[in-house]
Amino acid sequence: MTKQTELVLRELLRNPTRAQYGLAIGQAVELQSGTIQPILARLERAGILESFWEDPDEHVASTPPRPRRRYYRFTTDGAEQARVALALALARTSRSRPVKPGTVAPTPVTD
Amino acid sequence: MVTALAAAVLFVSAALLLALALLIAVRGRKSTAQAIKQLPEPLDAFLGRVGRRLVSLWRTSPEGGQHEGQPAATPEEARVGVRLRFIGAFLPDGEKWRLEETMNHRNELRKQRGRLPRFYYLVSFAGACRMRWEAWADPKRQVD
Repeated sequence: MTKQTELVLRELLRNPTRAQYGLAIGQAVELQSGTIQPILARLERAGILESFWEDPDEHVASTPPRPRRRYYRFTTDGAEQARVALALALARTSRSRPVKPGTVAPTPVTD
Repeated sequence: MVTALAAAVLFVSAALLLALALLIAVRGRKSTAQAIKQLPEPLDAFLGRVGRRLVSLWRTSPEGGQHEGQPAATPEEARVGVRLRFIGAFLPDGEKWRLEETMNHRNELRKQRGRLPRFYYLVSFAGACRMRWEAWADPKRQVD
């Protein structure tokens, strides 16, 4: 798992039930659209995320009117898969980089 | 890089078309038509694709828009249109809708910050290439 994918998953796991749109995710993790899109596509293919266009009434009624947004959210067991994947990635990282004496080891995401 | 790649493709196509034009001038129409028919199929398909792409790029230009009876695009709009079409051409077939998202993100960023992040189009192009590669390398596709 790449560092960028980890960042995206961590951002989405902040509120696993809330759907977020691509630009908001990108701005939260400070990554550009061109980096975010392949990651989201990969996570969709893996069955971790699902995406949908927002209801036309929402974006037409917004003031000022704006183009429709594509929202992303976890699938039924997507959040759990993401947590497991992050924990595995963290375990791999800590195995490859031994913790120096006197420092605090990182803990996996549990929320 | 995108511009350089586009320029290289256009240069190769222009060279091929020039060769064909010279052939027409030297040998006459009848023999040239026979020569075109004898072109290898991949080259014929490539020239056809380049021709269609050139027409679609031309339509996004201010002159192209006027010709079609549509309001003329500003040079800036035309440039953005060409870049986005170029990125869209590299997106895999099932992911073409992401071009709309890229365009919306671009417009929102312009509205919020007044300018785009550095290398925005280049990063988007790299992302589109990556998605195409991943779609091509997908084991499911290879099994199908």
